[in-house]
Amino acid sequence: MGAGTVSGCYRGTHDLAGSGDDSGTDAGSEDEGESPTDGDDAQCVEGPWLAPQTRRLSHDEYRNTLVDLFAPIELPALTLVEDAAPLGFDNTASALRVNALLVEQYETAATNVAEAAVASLDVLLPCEADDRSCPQQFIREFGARAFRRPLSEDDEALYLEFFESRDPDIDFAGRVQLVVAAMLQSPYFLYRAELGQAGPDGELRATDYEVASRMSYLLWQSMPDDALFAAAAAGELSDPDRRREIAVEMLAAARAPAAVGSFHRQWLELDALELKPKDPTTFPDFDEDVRASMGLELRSFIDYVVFDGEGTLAALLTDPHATLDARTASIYGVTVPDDGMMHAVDLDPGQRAGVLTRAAFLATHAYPRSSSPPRRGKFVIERLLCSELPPPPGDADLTPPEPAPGTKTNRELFEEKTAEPHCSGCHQALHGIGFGFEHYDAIGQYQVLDSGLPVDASGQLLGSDVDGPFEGAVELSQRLATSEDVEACMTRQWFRFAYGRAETSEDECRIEQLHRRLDEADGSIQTLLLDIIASDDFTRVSQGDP
Amino acid sequence: MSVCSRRTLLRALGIGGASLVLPSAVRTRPASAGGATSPQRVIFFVTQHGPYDTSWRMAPNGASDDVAWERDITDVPQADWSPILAPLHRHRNRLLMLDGLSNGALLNSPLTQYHQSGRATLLTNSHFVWDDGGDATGGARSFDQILADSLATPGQQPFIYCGASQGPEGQIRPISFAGEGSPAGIESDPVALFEKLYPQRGMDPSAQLGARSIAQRQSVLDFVAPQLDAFASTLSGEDRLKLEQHGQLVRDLEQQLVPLECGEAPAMPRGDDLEQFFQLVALAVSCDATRVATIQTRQMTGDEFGHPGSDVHQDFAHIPHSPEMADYFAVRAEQFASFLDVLEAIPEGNGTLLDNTLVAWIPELGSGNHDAHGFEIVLAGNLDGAFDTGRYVYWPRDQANPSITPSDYNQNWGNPVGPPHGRLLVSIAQALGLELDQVNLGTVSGSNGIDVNLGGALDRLTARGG
Repeated sequence: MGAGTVSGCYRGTHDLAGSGDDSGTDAGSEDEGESPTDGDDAQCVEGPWLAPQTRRLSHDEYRNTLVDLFAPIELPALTLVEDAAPLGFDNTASALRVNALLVEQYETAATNVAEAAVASLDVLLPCEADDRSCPQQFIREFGARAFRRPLSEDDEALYLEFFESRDPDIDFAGRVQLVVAAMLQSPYFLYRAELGQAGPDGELRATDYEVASRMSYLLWQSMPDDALFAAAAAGELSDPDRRREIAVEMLAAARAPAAVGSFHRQWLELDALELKPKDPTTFPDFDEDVRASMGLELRSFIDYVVFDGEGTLAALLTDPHATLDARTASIYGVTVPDDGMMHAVDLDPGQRAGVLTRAAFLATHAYPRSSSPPRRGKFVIERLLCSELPPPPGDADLTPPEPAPGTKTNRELFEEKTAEPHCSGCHQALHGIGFGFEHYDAIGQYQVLDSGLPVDASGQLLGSDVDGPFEGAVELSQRLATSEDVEACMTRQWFRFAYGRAETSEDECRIEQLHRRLDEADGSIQTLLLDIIASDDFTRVSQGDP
Repeated sequence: MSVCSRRTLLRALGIGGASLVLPSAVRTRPASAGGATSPQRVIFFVTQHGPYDTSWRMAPNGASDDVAWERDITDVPQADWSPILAPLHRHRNRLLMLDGLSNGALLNSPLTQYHQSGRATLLTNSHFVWDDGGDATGGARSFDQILADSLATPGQQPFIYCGASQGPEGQIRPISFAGEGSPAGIESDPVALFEKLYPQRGMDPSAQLGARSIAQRQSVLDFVAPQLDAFASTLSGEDRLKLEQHGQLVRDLEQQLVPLECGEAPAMPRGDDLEQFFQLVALAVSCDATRVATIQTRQMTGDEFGHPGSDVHQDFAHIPHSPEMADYFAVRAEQFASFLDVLEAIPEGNGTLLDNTLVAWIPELGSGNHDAHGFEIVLAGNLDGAFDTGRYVYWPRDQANPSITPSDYNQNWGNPVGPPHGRLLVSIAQALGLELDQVNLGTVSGSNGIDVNLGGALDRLTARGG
């Protein structure tokens, strides 16, 4: 069980949806508080699999799918209204609804994409346009890829009838265009069905094609490729060992960084980086190019660790390797050629470790002029330890203290500001971690002096399995890299990302099992993904309404 | 799980037509009295944060905050206007400043998520609900859409909800809702809105024929809708509702895909996104493509209000009487004034577009410190004479709701309070000829067991000194 509350900082009910209130969220996601299974061979008591029966494509999934569906045809740009991202992830099925504007945008996108596609009719068609069977062949073959499963005879007949019954003045290409536009607005394109079919024991299990989509959207954020479709057609995907073999190949493919990158980008809250203003007086050299460069550095680092480096959670937290250009290099105080290219370097291990000491992370969790110990502490507590924090009280003054050069450090200012008893309960935990980051300023530069005074980056971890004093964020990162709580928390978040839903109390044991295996694999992120895919749960679907 | 029946939920989602949602909203008089033919329109301009009254209020000398007062602002020299409102001086004859309203939908409500809960209740006048992400969201159809249900005629875009969806504060929480837990989609791309108003612009005439024609696109939607129904029928619970909703929206789109008749296309308006939205909304209402619009802003960046590198929310919003917040709202006032300029520049009948348009500037909160009382709202235009403009009207905090005890509003929401803002919404609806006596919530229970009436019209809007 990974989630709890921070000691001395009571949140009230633990609600996975995060509302902290019992007045309206769906039940079923409450942590009932039972103890975790212990022992490696513990079996989970079979509980219901409470999952959505369908998942609308997230916008990233939709865009990637269109690209793969029509490659090599170039597609027009498209606009989609933003989705909510509960749990911090934009692929959470319950939030993936449509509204009037999105339906309109889907229509516009389908119209424009279909038009662009038929402009390259030769590429799009699997047959000669004057061949009488071409419409049917196109509908069958293109439809199977668009719907990510073979069309039923009824589907095929329906689309053929649609093709043939268009106005007489619509030519062949126009009809193909309308078929494409229709398929792109079909629920079988826009949604992934997770309905399953009854197995020998009467239990519903995901079909091979549903499993293929689960695998491709988890590992690639896109549709299956031909090989995965072939494995589904051959009925191989109900076999967990075969799934694992195929997933190993998928993780070696060029598409693989998309989903891993998306998970970490959202986990680290990096989308917020571009929204964080930085004070031009304090940081005259900071501009949008630097901002973009530091974001690229952190994404490259994650890509490196997961696919080229040690591949472990610990390495993600501690590896001082970096791939960067001259802009971010100057933030880190290292020198690389200023040629606009990315260069591999090892950062000073006394100053830098993994993600928590990277400029993009530090700048995201900071104020315009100063670091933010509360925000950095909050990130570690919530996103690395899966503990819950209550929101600040209503009358809390959330304004950062005014810098006092030569008089007080940022740390001292925050200590003063939160000294009141009704602040200190939570801020003791927040600052115990957050003060450990005081060597890094608002754009992530390493500092020995803060406001002209020596930096004190001593900290104190509370409420975890690795509690205790530490000195600086490098030691904090190393400490967290040994934490079982962190491993459990990351497993929990991958579970949410993989299944597109909040866990229920029934899932606690499943998550704990995945966590055990992750622990045995020394925290290998690829192994965690493979274990999720090869688990029995991966083919489960909701058994529908009782 | 929700115990809502499917029919109730569909209804809450606004599906099934306006009559289901608003059976009582019957138009009782023509849109325009006196033989004029101009339609009446309403535009909401909702901005982030709340102003501090010290730099907003324009109290006459000797006026007390404890008693109601009003002031004729038409003869107050600009130098005597408050720092925030001074940019609006040039429109003084068309303005009705309201000061002291409260957000009645937050009465007796949990103290949490001030910005979200403010936005979720402002136009819904309904208790907020929690969405899947644990955020406060609208609990009912919002007033802009309720108005659109009654005002829109066939072939019109029922309403336009546009503006920023992203800002320095991240994703911007919605203020317009189709129904409970169902935020409206916001159009955040000015070019897309322009092309919706002028679909023929810049397009090869042949593109309106063949596979791209409206008729063919409608035929595709017509073909797709039954597939959504068929897929929905294989699902249960929330999933099924989601797909049924999708099917209905596809059918709605099929009806609305007709080109909006906005005439000859002008050049694409210039300026930043907000300036473009102001001009596009003005064009849309002037050609009667729509009669209701809601414009949402993003939080301004520091350099936009003269404090580069700052973050208004982190640095200033919560500091009582912060002069930087006054600067922030003064820029908003100038933006609002420029929007009124745009509306006044478009002739209509014997006057201008503003004569037949009501524009309401509503900050999301009563103050930078998240108060749900002490709202300061600016109305402009007067719906063909429905409101008595040129005035600043003030309500003290204890006037309208003597039954509200201090414990009703959580300490931080302040108490007691002025008249609930739901009454302003009712007054606007009635000015448009709708027979409506409450918007969503009619009453809220105070903790003393006495119901507080959120309905009825707001007093003092039409009668000078009344």
